[in-house]
Formats: sequence, C-alpha cells, structure tokens
Amino acid sequence: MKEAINLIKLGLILVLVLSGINLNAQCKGFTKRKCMPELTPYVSNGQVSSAKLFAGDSAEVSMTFYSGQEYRFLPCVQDILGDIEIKVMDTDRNTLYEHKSAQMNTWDFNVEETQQLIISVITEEHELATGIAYTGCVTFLIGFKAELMVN
Amino acid sequence: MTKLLKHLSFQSILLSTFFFVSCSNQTQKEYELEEDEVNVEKVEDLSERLFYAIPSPVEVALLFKKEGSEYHMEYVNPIENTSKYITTSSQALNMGVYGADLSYASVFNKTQETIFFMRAAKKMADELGVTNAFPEDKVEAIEENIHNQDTLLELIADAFWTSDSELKETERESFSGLIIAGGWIEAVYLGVVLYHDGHAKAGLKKRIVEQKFSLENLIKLLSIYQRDEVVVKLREDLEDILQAFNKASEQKKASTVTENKNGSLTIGGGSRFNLSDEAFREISDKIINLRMRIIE
Repeated sequence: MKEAINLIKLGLILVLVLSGINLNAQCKGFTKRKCMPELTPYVSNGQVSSAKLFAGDSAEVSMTFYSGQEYRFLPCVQDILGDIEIKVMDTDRNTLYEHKSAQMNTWDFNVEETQQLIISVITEEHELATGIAYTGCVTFLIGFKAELMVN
Repeated sequence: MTKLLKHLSFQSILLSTFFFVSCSNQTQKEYELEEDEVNVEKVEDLSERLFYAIPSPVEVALLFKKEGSEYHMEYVNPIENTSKYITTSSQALNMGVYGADLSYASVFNKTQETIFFMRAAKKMADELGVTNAFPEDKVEAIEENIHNQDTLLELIADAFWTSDSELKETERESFSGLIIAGGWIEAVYLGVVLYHDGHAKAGLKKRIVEQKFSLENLIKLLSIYQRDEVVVKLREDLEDILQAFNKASEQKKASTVTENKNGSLTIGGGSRFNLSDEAFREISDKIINLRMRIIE
C-alpha cells in the first residue's frame, strides 16, 4: 500500500513537471496571439519581459516615459492566475495609481515631463483544493505611439 | 495480488501522465504559433521579477525627429562592415546598431536604406543563430510594406521582440542585453552627432540629456549578466558615461496622476535637467568613442 502511494506521488510530480514545460510553450504563443494584437496601434518596445509566477506573486518593470509620447501598458496574464492588481509607482516607490481588474485591460497614458516609473502587477492569491500552488506566466507589454503628441 | 496491484498502479500513473500531457499539448496547439518555445525563467527571487525596459531605437528616433533631427546617411554604420563582425559579441552589438540604423531610416521614410539595414540586421541575426527574427516571410512583408510606416514599424518591433524571445529561451540572455545596448548606443550617437553638426534644433540636447534615465536602466539590465566579460566591460564603459550625465542638475517635481475623460491617464510632475555645454560635450565624446569601438 505504501509503495502504491509513493508511485502515485511520483506520478503527480511527473505531471506537474511536464505541465510546467508546456506552460512555457503556451506563454509565448499566448502573448503573441492573445495580447500583442491589443497593443495596436501602439508599437512594442521590442523587449520580452516575462516571468512565471505563483498565484499571489508580483512582477515589476522599471521604465522611462518621455514627455510628448503616448504609451500603452498591457499586462498579459494567463487565466489560471485570476484577476490582477496594477500599481504605478515613482522611483521612491510612492504609489501614484492602483487598480484591481480582470486581465487583458490596457492602460493608455502620457507624462507631462519625462520620468522614471515602476509598474507592478500583483496576481491574486488562491490555490487549488489540493493545496498545491500553481504557476502562470505574466508578460509586460509596453507600446508607444509612432505619431508624437502635438503640444 | 500485491504484484498485480503494483503493476496496475504503475500503468495507471503512466496513462494519467500521458493523458494530462496530451491535453496540455492540445491546449498548446490552440495558442502556439510557428515560433519556438520560450524559456520563461522560473521565478526564484525578486531579481527575476524586476525588469528594466529600455526605449527602442524607433522611439528614440521619433523623439529626436520631433526636435528637428535630419536624416544623414554619412553617420550610420556602413553595411559593408557586416563582414568584420566575426565574434558573437560583436554580432550581437551590431545587430543592435543596425537595428537603430534601420529604425532611423524607417522613421525618415528612407525606403532603400530601410531595406539595406534590414538585411544587415538579418545577417547579424542569422550569424547569431536567431533565425526566427527575420525569416523570409517577414523580410518580404517588410519590403511589401516599405511605404506603410505604421505597419513597417510594427514589423521591425516584432522582429526584435522575436529575437529577444529566442535568445532568452535558448539561454543566451547576455546577447539580448548586447543587442539592446548596441541599439541604444547607436540611437543616442546619431542624436549626438546630428546635434553637434547642426542638423537638429536646440531642443535635441534636452532629449539626449533625458536619456540618463534609460542609461541607468540599461546598466542595471546589463548587471544581471555578470559572467559575460564583454557585457561587464561594456557596463563599465556605460557607467563612465553615466558619470558625465550625473553632472546635470535635476529639478524634480512629485508625480501626480489625473484620469482623463477617455479613461487614459496623465502623469504630472517629473524631471527637468540642466547641463552645461562642456559637460554635454563630454557625454557626446564618450558616446562617440564607445560607438566607434563597437563598430570597428
């Protein structure tokens, strides 16, 4: 009986490991197919900022935003991670803006003067009934408008 | 009986494993495109969750164009130089350089030059083994959309996003850093030479000085790749340039957020810099020297 239980545990571990590998494959495809089109008409900055997170984890991007430019921020989060919270902070980590939302929302913004900001994405805390924590990928997509704002 | 039970348990575990994997594969097919899998790094500590974004050369070229910068072919990296770059580090750096030249040409609607620099960037990508960045269908799409700037810029951005993705998934992240660095250095170099040679308005100086923020992020980005000697040396060169940027005085106002009627946000506050001509000349000379070392 004990050996049977050990075999079942081994099987569960195998399933989780192989699922992790497939999660990586889904992440890039998910980002390109489901999220990238939402960036249009903004142009991507060409950088991949992706992380695999456990539910309840957070990820951040630090970026310079230039005056006269318009930006779009799109957190690309896999469904399994649930709803998210967005926080915009200055470099002293003072919160300037926060918003809880479902995924796939876009935020359009501009800055009056050039400044460095930190954007944080916090995923919802929850776990499966079995008590096993699961992971999902989060990609920060940031785009800018090719036409500059007219002042 | 026990032996039978063990055998059945093992078989059922194997079957379950294949069942779950094949189901995941079916879901994967729904999302997967022709690109390879990305190696998204498993988060172990906070450093893997903090990203440093650098402005793309397209964005920098657009910002500089607004300040009256002009297009001058004599400042870009000649495409004949591609044959010089035989080490992977020089190929990565110059893929970034040609990416910036490509962006510069595209923003100014220079169609022939756009094609030339696209092919130069492609050559560097192919040498690096980043074959998904500029596959033939993308090259054709760029050529077909050469007069459609919006689509062209999206295609260029996608090529570099794909390249960045492929390098990260094949655990060559340091090359990703070198490409980004090469692109930033070339983009700022172009601004600097255009400014000093009188091919831009006075406002371009302010835009170049603002690059201090992006340089800080670039140095932090490169700090991740401690094991690559070329990256370490480049970071030291960039830190030297940052010392010159730090001579600027900064007037900083606290940031504020206003929600507009259309739902967009306007972030007030921010920084204004003041830098002497002498200090600006120092920055310019350092950037020019670094760029010349990269392309020679």
